[in-house]
Amino acid sequence: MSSVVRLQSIPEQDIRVRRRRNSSAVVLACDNHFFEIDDLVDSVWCRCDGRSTLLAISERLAADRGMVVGDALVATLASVVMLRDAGLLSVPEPAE
Amino acid sequence: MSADEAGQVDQFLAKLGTTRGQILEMESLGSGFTGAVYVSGSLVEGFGNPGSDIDVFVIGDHGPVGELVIHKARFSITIHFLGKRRVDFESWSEAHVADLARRLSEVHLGQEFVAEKLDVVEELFVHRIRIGLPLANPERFAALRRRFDFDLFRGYLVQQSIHRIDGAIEDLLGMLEADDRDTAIFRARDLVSLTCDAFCHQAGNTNPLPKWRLRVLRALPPSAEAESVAATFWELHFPDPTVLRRDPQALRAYAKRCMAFSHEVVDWIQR
Repeated sequence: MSSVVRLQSIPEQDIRVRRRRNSSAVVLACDNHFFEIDDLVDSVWCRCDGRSTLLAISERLAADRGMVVGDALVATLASVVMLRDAGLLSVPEPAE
Repeated sequence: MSADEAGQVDQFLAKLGTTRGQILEMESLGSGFTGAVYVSGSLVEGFGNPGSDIDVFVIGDHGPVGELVIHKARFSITIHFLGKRRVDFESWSEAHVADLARRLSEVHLGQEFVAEKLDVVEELFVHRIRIGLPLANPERFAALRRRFDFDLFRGYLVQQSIHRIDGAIEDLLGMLEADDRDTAIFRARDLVSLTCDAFCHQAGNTNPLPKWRLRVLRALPPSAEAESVAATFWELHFPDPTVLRRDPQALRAYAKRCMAFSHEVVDWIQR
């Protein structure tokens, strides 16, 4: 697995992952593993629709949450790498 | 009972060719009986058909009068007939109803695993109080309804459906891994049905009976979401089984679509 993600990459959620909200948090469940995520990571997760590039996701995050674009980009990349490393999504190399 | 309510009940019974007096007389529930008596079930809900029973509920100290009696753990059913149509009187004690209301009130949504806190009979009982029409002692019926938090009940059904969805997804993934194709096809269909249930409960319906799933879906207020769920429901319920049984890749793709549908609906519910 490459440790590099590119802005034109399109992250893909693992279909096995269930996003569930309980009274205090959002949890991503996969097999018997449960990952509690905060609101910002959840915002990134929900925008990983299998069609949007990382750049588009960060732009939408900035617009929807009133964030500075640079901050939104950092948040997107950090969240996606964390989610990828947890095995919850994949980030294929962008098509040439 | 207001004049409007009484008129509604009488109109409903007239369509079935009977009257309040005739129904109450079957179980000798005249003026001497002080408990709640109400009619409910699929006919009241507008889902019934010529074969549907008239379901009458009697809450309080009532010994069955009819000859055909079925005794269950918490209630009894006395069966009567009105022409070709069956009239079932379901008698519950005040104590059982109070216990049921208490157990529902102790459900904490979002904080615990809530599935099967109530059994199917109890869920149906609560739903039928919610939609019921009083036949006698309407003030007792109104008091009975006030014991139940119907919005909590609806939330319970939503969360229970989501728990069941989780179970179906786990099953389905295991079946795919084991290449148990026939079982996987049917479990994927279960997943689609459970997803439809979660949607309908979120949209306000509290009928827990799977047989009315499609009628419930059709009876929801029109919305783009309801239309989309109905279209996807039909599409995913009738794939080509020949292809799915033969081709593991096609089955995997079908299962992914069923899971994606489920994820989408649950995200909508928990948005």
